[in-house]
Amino acid sequence: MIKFIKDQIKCFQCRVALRKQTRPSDKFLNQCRQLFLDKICPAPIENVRMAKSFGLIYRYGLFSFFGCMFILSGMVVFADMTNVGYGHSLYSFKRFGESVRIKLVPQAGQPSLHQEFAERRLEEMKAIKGNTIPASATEQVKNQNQSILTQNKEVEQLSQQMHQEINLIFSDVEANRIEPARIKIICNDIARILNDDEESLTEIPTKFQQESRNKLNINCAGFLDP
Amino acid sequence: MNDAFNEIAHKLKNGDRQAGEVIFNKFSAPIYRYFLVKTLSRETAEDLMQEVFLKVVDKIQTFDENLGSFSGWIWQVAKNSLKDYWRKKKALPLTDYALAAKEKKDFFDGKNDPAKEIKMLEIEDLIKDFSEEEQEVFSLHYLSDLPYKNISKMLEKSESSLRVLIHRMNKKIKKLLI
Repeated sequence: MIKFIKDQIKCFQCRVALRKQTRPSDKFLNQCRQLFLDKICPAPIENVRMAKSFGLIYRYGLFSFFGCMFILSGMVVFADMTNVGYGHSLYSFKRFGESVRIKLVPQAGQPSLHQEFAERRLEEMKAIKGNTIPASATEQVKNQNQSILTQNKEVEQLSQQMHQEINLIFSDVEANRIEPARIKIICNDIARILNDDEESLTEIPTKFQQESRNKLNINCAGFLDP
Repeated sequence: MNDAFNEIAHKLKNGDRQAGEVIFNKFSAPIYRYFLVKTLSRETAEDLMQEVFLKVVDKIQTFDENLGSFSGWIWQVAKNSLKDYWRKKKALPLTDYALAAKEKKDFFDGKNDPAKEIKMLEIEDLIKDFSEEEQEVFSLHYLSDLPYKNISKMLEKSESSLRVLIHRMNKKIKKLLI
């Protein structure tokens, strides 16, 4: 019996040794497997390449996107801080920055921002009016007329926007959203802006000016300095 | 290696890489050992095995599940490859026989262990004494440890006759080893 068990163990050991000895090498197996699988379907390799290139595009795209966002936000901040004039290439960025600031600021701070923007519009109008049109050459008369028309249109547009800002302040006053202590300051500032607008920019009062003046009289009658 | 491989072969026909991987993992080692026993050369066994798997991809469209099992089919491809190899081998010029003899010698290298080397050389002699059928069974049963059922399918032999064959071989091997 013991001899039989010994024989079996020897047999088993021999078989294990044989199997080890006759095993294909891992290197060859991997090589052969790859060759075989590539012959079946080379597509996954393409997919891997595509995935790699997609990853690259995605990374570059993301990088470009954030780069653009950084540059654009820089332009917005720059345009807002330097208060670029009407017609400047960054003017639209400044207006965009203003709309964002209005959205972000709490309601209590909105009247002062509207006031600041109304003042900006006034300055822009003044800047446009102050631009002298070269009138030396007679052949340029037609162009000058055209420029005057454009200028008036721009001023009218800015004036409209300025009065919109002022109306927003009045609506805040009407809704009692401004502290009584601040109303007096705001009212006097608005009066100053309106006086400036009427004196320097228009000979005949416009519809917007009249509306703003009426609202000023109604809402700020008791707060205005003599 | 049962009929479940027919389903995998069907996937392989449609270019499924995973199916290919399953088939390779299952058949590569037994086929390699089969060639190793038959040719007594690692290099030749490697070349032949690679050739078999490339042939499988080329000819998989001709495989019909209704006519037989995939295991039997792939085994037939391996046998045909070996036949082709022998045919080419016979056409070797005289000068190449030295190389062929060296190839045979590198089969059972004892890896610097003289005792092991002697044993392996004895086994090599034993394999030489085996009939073609016995060599196949030796590689599949002793080296690849495949069950009777699968071997019988591959070699298209009944299980009972396979058992008798293995019993006879066991006696021969025991004589040598013990």
